[in-house]
Amino acid sequence: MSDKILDGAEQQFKRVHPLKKAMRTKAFPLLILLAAMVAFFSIFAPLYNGPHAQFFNMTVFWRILQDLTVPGFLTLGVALVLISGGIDISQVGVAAMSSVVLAAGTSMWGWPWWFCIILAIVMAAAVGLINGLLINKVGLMPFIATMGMNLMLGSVGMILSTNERGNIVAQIQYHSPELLAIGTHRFGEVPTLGIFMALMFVIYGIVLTKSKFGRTLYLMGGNRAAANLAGINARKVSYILFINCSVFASFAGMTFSMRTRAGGHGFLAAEQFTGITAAIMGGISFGGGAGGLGGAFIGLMILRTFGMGMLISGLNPFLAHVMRGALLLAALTFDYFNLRMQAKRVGA
Amino acid sequence: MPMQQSRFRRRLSVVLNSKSFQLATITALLLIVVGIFSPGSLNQFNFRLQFNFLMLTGVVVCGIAPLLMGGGFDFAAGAFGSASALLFGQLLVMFPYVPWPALLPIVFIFAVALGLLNALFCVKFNLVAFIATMGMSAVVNAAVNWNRNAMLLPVTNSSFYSLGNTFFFNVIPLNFFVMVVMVALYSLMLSKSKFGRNLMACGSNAQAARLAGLNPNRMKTIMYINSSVVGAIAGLMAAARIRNVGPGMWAMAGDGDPAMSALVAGMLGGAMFGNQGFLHGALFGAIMVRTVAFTLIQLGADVWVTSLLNGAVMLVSISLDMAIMRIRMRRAGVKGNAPGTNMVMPGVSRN
Repeated sequence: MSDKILDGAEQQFKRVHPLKKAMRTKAFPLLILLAAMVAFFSIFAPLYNGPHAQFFNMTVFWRILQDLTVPGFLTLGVALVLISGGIDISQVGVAAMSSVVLAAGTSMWGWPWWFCIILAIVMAAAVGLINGLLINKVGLMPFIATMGMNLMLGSVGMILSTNERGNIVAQIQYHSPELLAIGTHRFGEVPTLGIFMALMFVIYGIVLTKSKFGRTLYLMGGNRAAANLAGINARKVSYILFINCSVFASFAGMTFSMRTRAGGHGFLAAEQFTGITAAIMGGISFGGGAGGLGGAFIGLMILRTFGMGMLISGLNPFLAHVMRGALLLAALTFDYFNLRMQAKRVGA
Repeated sequence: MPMQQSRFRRRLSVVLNSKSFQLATITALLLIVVGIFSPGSLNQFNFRLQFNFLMLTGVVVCGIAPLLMGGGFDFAAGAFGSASALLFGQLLVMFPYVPWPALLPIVFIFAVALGLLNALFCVKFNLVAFIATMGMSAVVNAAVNWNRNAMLLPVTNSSFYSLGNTFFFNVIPLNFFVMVVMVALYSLMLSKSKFGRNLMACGSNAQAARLAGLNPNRMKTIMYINSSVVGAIAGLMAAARIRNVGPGMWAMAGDGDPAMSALVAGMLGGAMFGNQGFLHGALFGAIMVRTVAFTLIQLGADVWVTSLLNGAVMLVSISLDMAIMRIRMRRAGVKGNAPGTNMVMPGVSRN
């Protein structure tokens, strides 16, 4: 009898070929979508916009990677928070504040550039800590706590960007060769900060899948009560994640500021939900416990490749915005059908 | 033996303990402060401005708050409103001799279609309401921009825009009464009717509601359509006031994103927690937010103070709310988390 049970168990848990396993992940259909998109724009762009509009070359690829740096940092931070079952929408506030610190610090207050970077990171970490306190100590919902924080950070940005005459400057221009060099440094055609961002994705991806800490996040997101009973200090992990998220948001704001040579309290307002959207598209679910960073990165790639493709094709920018929203809806809907097909295959 | 409280006193205590009463008290106190320190600012012009803002938020709340209670969210109410208003403006241009009320059915059919589209994504495909409706909002907003090349379309029909520029006692706009009637009707519907109670049951526990024989999906679909139609009404009201429709009309009407303002108002009024807040609570929440900003500006505060205090008011009032709820639950001997604790974002709760 015991043999019979073992047989059954073996049948149920038989080894799946790694390739097949990879094909069953959520990221795989997205990868196909990305490939299809690249193929489409490689053919469509020269046809629609003349032979000079070439999409399929390395220059365009590096440009996409460079464009990805800022939203990449945002996605990386918020993806971890989402996996653990929280949410952070104060990222844009932190990013704008960091850009103001860089701009005002180097131009108005005359501080050295490295000190401004450190100050921006420390301030961001403090914001993350306050977020964690509001959520874990006061017991607010993450959405409300970080939304209130975002409103308050807007005014911190305004205070910092007030000049000596008492006016709030919407865009503080500054000139700092070192910061500009950091922001726009390239090895040949390869944007250095873009590579740094991609490297961070790889490191965090490994931590998330291979380390004990990473698995803790999934347990926390999947079932907070079970995580507590398993002896995991969910609060401590939550503090770490919110601080991490804010620091990455600060990276995003600083990168943007270095490249535009300016800072302002309203910077990156359009990126409010970019990170969350990319993460959700890549298979991370609200409520936590599912998805990974690879999917989030591919989701981000899809969003930006599509935008770049339409730019090179020379489409009407408003139409491009319509298409971008439609792509998001299509990708989400596709996910629904994919899940249903999987459920049918498993027989659930 | 404790004395039986009289009926009147019981009713009074219910009113005094209600969310709306607390918010109204804070509002009144703020207005008294303004009256003492800057009496000149309590003038006709300022009140008219505030009523015009509140009218829009109040209408959109009628769409958003029931959705929040039913466990959904609609980010696209503002975009749908401007799209519907733009359609109305285009129809006015196309048929200048048709009386404008005859064009309204077309606009509302369009709004219903948009609401159905929202319901398709959020209910049928079961996508996350926040992201899916945000996508819808992006698509519709961009389409409106595309249609008008980012320019406003003026409304020249005088009988239509005089509706938005008629004031009672030179202060209260005509459409404000429409809003009050709508809020009253929706509030009654939610608290007294069977449909309202069923909706709240679906919002607090969809599984249990289904087992009790309700159909949460159908209810949510109705509420998404409702939210879209209500957004269209708000869009028409804004159009009647500012005499323009199309891209950027909300910014011109003084409310950058009505769905977001309605969400904040709903949270302050307790609509998010399902069991406690009602629609009038959300309305009083909106009034209080506006009054805080108004007070600060009248007292000569810097711009940044307004933004800071808006965030702080939200955090403090919701923290207090949760603390009070926890104390009440402990007193009543109810175990478990306060309602809403597991919410990640509107319409999504933690696994």
